[in-house]
Amino acid sequence: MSEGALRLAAGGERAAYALVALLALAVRVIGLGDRPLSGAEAGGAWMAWRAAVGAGLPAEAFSCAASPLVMGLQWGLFSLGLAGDLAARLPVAVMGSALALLPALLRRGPGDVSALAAAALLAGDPLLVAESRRAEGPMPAVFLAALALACATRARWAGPRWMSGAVVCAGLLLVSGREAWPLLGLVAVLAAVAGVHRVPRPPGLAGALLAAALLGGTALLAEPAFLGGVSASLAAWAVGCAEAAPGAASWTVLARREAVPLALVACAAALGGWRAWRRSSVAVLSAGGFGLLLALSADTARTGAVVVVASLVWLAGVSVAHLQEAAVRVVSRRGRLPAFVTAGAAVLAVSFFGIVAGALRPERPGTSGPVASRLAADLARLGWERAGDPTELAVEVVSPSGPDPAVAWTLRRQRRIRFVTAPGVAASPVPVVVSPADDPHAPGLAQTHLGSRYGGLVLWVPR
Amino acid sequence: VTAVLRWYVVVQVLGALALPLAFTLFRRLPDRGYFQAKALGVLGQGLLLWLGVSYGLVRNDVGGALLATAALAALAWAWGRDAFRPRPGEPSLWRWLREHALMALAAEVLFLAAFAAWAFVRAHDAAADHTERPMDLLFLGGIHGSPTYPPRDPWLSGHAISYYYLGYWLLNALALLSGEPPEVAFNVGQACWLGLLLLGSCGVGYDLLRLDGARPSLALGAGLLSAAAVGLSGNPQGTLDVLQREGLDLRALAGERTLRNFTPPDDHWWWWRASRVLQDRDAGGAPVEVIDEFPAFSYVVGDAHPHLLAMPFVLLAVGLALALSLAAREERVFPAGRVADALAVLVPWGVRGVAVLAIVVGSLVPLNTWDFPAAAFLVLLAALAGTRGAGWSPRLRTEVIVALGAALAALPALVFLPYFLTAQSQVQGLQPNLLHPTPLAHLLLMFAPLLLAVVVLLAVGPGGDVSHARHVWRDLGIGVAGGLVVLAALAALASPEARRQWLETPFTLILLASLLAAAVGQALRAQGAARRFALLLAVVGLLLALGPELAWLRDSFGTRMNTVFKLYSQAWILLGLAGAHGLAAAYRTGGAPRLASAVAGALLLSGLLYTGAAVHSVAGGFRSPSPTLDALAYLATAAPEEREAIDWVRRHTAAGDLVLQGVGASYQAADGRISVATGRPTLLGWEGHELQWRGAAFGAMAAGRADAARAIYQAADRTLLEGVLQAWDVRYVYVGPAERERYGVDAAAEQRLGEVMDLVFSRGSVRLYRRRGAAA
Repeated sequence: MSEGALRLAAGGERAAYALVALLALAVRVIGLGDRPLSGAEAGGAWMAWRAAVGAGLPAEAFSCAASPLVMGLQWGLFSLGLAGDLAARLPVAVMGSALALLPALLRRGPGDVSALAAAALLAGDPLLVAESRRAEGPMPAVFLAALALACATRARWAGPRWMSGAVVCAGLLLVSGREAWPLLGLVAVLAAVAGVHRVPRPPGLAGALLAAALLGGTALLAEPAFLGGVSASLAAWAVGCAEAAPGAASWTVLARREAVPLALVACAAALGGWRAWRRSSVAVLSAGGFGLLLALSADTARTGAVVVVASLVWLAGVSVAHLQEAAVRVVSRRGRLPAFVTAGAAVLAVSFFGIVAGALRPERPGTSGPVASRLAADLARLGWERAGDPTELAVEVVSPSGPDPAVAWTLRRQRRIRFVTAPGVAASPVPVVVSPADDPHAPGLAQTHLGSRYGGLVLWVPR
Repeated sequence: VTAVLRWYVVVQVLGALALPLAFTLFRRLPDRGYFQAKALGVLGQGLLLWLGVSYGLVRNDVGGALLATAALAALAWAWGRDAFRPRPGEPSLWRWLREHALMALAAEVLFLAAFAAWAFVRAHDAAADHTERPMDLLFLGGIHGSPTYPPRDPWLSGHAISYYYLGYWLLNALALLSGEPPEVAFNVGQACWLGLLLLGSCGVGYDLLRLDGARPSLALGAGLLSAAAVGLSGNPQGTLDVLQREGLDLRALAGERTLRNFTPPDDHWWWWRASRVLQDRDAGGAPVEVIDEFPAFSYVVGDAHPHLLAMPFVLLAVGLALALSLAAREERVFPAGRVADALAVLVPWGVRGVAVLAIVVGSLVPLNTWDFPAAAFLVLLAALAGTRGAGWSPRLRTEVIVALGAALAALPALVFLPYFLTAQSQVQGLQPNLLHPTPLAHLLLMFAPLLLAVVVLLAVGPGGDVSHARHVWRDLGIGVAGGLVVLAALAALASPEARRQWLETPFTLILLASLLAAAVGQALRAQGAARRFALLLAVVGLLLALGPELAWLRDSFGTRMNTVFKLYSQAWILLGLAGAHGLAAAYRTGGAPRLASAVAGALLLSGLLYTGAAVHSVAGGFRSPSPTLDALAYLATAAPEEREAIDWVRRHTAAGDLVLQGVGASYQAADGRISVATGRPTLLGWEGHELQWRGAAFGAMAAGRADAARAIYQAADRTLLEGVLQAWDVRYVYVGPAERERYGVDAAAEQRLGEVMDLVFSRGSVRLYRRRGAAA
């Protein structure tokens, strides 16, 4: 711990972290299933769902946006009967929440209060919350990379068994999706900066790495086919991924949203806080710089932005101790407690006022919106009316370039659904057809079916 | 140029990753495996990708290729670390490289020069529009478009490739890493493979002469001679054809069986005849085609066939055998009696090293199965030689050889199980050769310079010693006697007409048998490790040349054509290596042997005349205004509408979508063209070739496909059409010039197609229809 850093009572500290964890989980999970999955999110979720119900994986078109690790966790939830939008997003939300607790592992460096402040800021950061509420994206990779680094750093003073933990995290990182690959170099560099190479290595690290990757990438060996997603993710990183969601918001928007950590860092810098950063500045600035580099590359803009913001928030947390020391010098002994409480409450209020509201309704590029849910509900109703079972309606979805994952996920409960290149010519019974609004077969369908518009889709019901 | 550069960088990276492994695996060789490292890296990375895909661990995509490369790096780190922390008294890899900078530089220059020069040649003859090039490109495209196991055969939808496809897989792996499409990989890959072949040959030649104590520069010369003999030189028929084209009249030399060999060749593809030196006759006296390719011809013709794609790895196996043969020379340790201990002395890394050896040699099974028995036999012979003089008990030696043999049989069977699961074969058994003795003139027009070089090897002992001549004569006598016995047996078994043929043309059998006996005798008595190994190469090479005289594998051709083809091309490589060493060793001794070496060497190198002239001819005098490495670029002018259709199919269809094309006739580039260019499957492509690849299994696999294609194209009845489209899960129907001609597709048929399918592409006479209701 740095000299002069505040120490908290153990019980109080635990309670504070529990509160942070609860808060982090709450802002990530509340309303998580309100909106249907976007196309990028649905790619992996649909495959995990197919695996969970024994429908087989579409080997030809492994979603390049999918993470084998997240798919494995989704598979576990779906197998327990929790197949829904919330369950699909829950694994990433939990990882995003856990990210907020990482400062607890590293509090020896900046001090208890700084670590706790960083945890609180991480728990409520708008970008991190938004990224945690998506079933795809960089959050699992960033979390595992950060956890691996935290374990490796902690191994320096807490014993080599933490190295095993770091290696297990690195193994899981390998199977956490395409966003993991650019982070491997960052992890290696930062681990070297943190002096990990001087830590005695316990035996069997290579085996632990492989085992973690194998178990994490196959849902504990239950779905070996998920492992194919590892090379698909590497290919997606190397040559691009058409299914990926668009990049992060512009830097201006990000700067506005990250006003709190930016202000904290600026204040600390103005008060000579760089002295307080000394211990971790190399690692943090390297991470931020690396993230910036990633963010400048179009393919990894989201990953880069998350890394930059996470680094910034950590730096802001570290700055708190220095700000507190500076405040001690100007506030009388009697007034300190009220002053700290007021300042803390103000910071938290400012942070969470906008954050919580924004986090609950983050941008979801490519989401199919409530229209898709309405289509699913109407199909279920039709099934009930025409086939006596909401899942037994014969449905053809026109999708010439392969099944659209968002539609496939939304309509996953329809057992007799077929994705076709064009409406069939002679089927009995005549199926209900779902086609793009601009499908060239629309005039032909209009002669035999009644069409209803659902956003960009048309539901054609036989007359 | 960019494509070549990218490919070159990838191969260099793989070679660098494999170098620590090669440094340890070949540690007994003077070059420490430097010449073999690139081939080892290419094979290692490709095999790891293939295994990963076959066992479902990775997908056949860029990511999978990168992971396989990472796995190769991990292996190099785990097993090759000793290269950087050597045993006391041994140099580290870095120090060794500094000390052998000239050798390393020469190797790099040779590889780069061969690669670049052949890429230049391929750029002037790139089109996959003749011979069996479409077939080779098809396999490459089929593999490229198969994300999971097994690799698809685009000419027989729903089935895996049934051919020696690992060579295409290796090309695909490099294409993934370098970002080249199959049609470019087809040509760049051949250039790279020539570089690897010459590098491997040069390495063996270099090692052999260095082991004899020659200085490095002379050994490099020997290496270059080996490379020229193996990979660049043509056969005497080719040289004579060049001279006959220039007006030299050799008709006076012609006999009854050699009339065509001594008449001037046709202007068109005059270089082709060098691969058809032999010509058998059927019972009625009619000519029967026999193929007798040699490496330079295979490269000139430009088909990326398995025997060509396997060549660098045959050289890798030869290098491993050479390293094995040196065990006794270095290790005079008497093992404790356990086979595992003995294997650890024989092979670096012990049992693990044996596994690597077995897998590298075993990879010849899916590369070109014909190469495996000879390579495995050579390895076992080398192990026998390697354990000789090591002070081991005969029982231990026997146990070691049996263990090695068992590993060579069992491990490839296990590791390559996914390959065997999808392989069919046309082989119907072994047939004694009762009808077709090879005339001696044919043999000499094929192998004379190599056989002469082998004679020099046999005649000139270590240090120019010719005192062993009496042994040689005795062995030759034994060989002649043995040959006569075999001849009598064959004549006794043969029909009267065939017996007459055998009695009229006995000399090939007798010559090869006598040389074989002399080589065996010399190998048993040889003292020097290099000479002994060169003699082992000669033994196996002569056996391969002798093989088709005695028996052939019965296949769908019904002749020994394929047996001669496959065995002769291996024999060329082994005799080339043995002969080149014989010439280099004789040259080094000075005096009369040097003179003999110079004469035989000049004869050997005269074969370069053929290769140079043939290359100039196939490249059209290098006058192409727009050289390209794209094997499909010719379509832009030859069939622009089809080219557009190909682009459409690539953009809008999934890799597994069945795009129906007309059933094709072999060697017709326009048939099955969409499958060739895109890897998308059709019902049935080149029918005759599918039959060759699948033998007896073909009938059941192809049943109904030709009829289905006809029913769809003629579209006589809408209901029938719908039924057939659905039954075969046809997603797209392609109507191009070949289909119009074969099936007479008329307006009425197209109208009916349009009733049940959507017209999704139309340019000129080319149409593409998509079935409605097909699963997306």
